[in-house]
Amino acid sequence: MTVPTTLRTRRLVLRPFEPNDVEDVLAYANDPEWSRFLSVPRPYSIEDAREFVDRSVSIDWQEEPAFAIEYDGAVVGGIGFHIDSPNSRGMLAYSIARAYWNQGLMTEAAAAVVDWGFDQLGLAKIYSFADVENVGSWRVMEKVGMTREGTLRSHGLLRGVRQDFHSYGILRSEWAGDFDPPPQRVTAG
Amino acid sequence: MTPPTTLHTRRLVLRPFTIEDVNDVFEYASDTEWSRFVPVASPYTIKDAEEFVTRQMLKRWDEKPRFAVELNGVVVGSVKLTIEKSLEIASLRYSISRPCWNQGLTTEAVAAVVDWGFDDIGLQKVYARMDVENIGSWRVMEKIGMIREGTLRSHGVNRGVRYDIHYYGILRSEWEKRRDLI
Repeated sequence: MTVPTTLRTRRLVLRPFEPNDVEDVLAYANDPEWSRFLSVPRPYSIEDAREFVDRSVSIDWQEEPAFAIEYDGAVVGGIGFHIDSPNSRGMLAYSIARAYWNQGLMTEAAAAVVDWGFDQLGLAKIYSFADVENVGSWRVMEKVGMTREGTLRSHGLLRGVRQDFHSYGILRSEWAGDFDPPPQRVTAG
Repeated sequence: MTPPTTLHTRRLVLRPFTIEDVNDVFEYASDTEWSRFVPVASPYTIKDAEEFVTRQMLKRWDEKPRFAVELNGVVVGSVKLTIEKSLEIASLRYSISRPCWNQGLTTEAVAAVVDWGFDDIGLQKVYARMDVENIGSWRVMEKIGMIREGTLRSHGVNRGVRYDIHYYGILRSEWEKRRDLI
């Protein structure tokens, strides 16, 4: 049983989305550079933000645990898993506002969530896909110790353009979990 | 909307399942060597075969077309596409009874379905994933010109054991170039 959870890292709080996160989500999601590799509407409206937050608030944490990434009191991104229970694996997905790129923040969040996925969810494998051109995204995977397992050609279609994806994965046995300082866990009701 | 379809190859007829096929399915699926890499109940009962056939008859043909593979009037296996319409791609699954192995029959059946997927469904890519130990299966992929795009480690569980998966794919442009060779 996975309950909505809050994780703390050195600079971030990862916690469940809340209804009043709509304005924060809109602020970063209505940036075409942010959504370049994401299948979200353009332009991104307040209704789109509301719909996203509503969905994130009501998700089933057994199947799709999703954390808001909070930095200095504002939500600046999201990160979560799609869980495949029969195969004991989780697909990791994440994004962070453009203003916070290149500061190691996404890696910090990803490391905490990967650690939680192995430790608390008991996953055997965590994997992820990124557009081969989304270098910032797959660099995060490499920084948390994931291995590139393949490059899936023409596997996606975004705004009329076909996409190749790098496929990355890390096994439980490979996860050292020695990020410093280790993420602390706080479980919320 | 794609209506259920029948395809003919040199030796095979590929057509939708009917309720008459239960005994044929039971015949090959109750072979544990056949089901080694297939997620079905074992032992496999006649009731499992009934459920399987009924499920195929209820499935939407435009999302998950599954062809029964008929050889000399007997169903000896099946080939299935799972279509991801918004991405214009489909994943491929297939199996054939043990007495039919090593005669090029799976390759013949799969080639016909892939051809149909590109031509009639308008797919841009067809891909397949299988246990790396299922050599017969990924040899079929190589014979029809698919490329191994990756090996996903420890990606699945088969009867309690984790296994690695080969991922194979072929693009529309590649298929058009080689279809006449097959």
